[in-house]
Amino acid sequence: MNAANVLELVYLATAVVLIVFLFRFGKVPRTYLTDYMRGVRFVKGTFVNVLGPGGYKPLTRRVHIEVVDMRAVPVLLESISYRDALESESVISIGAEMLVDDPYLAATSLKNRIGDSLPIVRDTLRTTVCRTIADRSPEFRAKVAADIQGAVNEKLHRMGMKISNVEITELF
Amino acid sequence: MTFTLFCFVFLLGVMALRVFAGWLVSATLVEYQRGVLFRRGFPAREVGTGRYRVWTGIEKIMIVDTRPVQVSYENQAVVLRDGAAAVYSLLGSARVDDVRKALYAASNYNHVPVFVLLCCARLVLNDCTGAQIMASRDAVAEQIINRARPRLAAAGFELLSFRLTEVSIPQQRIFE
Repeated sequence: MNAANVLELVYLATAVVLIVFLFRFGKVPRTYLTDYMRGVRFVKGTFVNVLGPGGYKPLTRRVHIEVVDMRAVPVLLESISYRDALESESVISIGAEMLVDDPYLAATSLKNRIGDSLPIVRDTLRTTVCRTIADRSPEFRAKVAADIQGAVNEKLHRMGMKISNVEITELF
Repeated sequence: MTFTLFCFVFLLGVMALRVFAGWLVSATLVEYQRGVLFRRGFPAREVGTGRYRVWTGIEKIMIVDTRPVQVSYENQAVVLRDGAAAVYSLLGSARVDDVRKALYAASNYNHVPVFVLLCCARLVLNDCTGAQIMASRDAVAEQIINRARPRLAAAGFELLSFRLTEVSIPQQRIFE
């Protein structure tokens, strides 16, 4: 076996090793984040950072990127009955938009971001309006909507979620 | 041997490029689809029907279906201004008019027409009395349309049709 053959064998072995490594890297999926998405990056299971828009290609499977959609989700809570401050039976319906406030908290605190937040919204809504006396004026609706939004966001903040554009569609 | 070496280097280069930098792929948009081309995560331009080549890892096309979204809800209860309870059913449709607005309007843009029409219908009916509804159901529907149309336009949608197919108040039933 002369030097040329040995060199050829070395090249071949190096090429095979590189091809195997590239196949391994190639199997790790690429993640593409648009400007309305964020990526929560975990390395070996530990949170590292939140990624912004762009394409990401982790080199190994030790890196896991969870994609969080930051766009609003419209929600309707309809015909919620309650007793107001005068113990009168009342009904309220609201429309709102639920969105992610903190991608890391939303990804790690909630299994189902919308489904798990809605009970909190419903409960806080009832607690807030129970302290009021139902009034049909637009000013009262705007005030109650703002109070509901503030109270709900205080509860949802620790889970990385929030609501906005709260609108009272029905009040009696 | 030189040729073999060249082939191996070329092959390795192509694979490395594919793995680390991305690859050219094509996306086809049919006539009822529109898309937004994102480059490095930010919207670059809107694209229409046709075939497009994008470089994975740098570019991506988010596709929006522009076919009409049907909204149909039956037996929805609402409290009227005079304290009576009414049951109503509505039927409407809307389609995407501005692709970029629709893409950013909500996580699932198909939910937007449903949300807007239900909100507006309940808001208007809650402000009506039974007598007003009995007098002119069409005027009530017109109010709902006037409220819903600008909200849908802001979300990139065009309202195609809307009507209240049924409004029922105790002892007084109005069918279409």
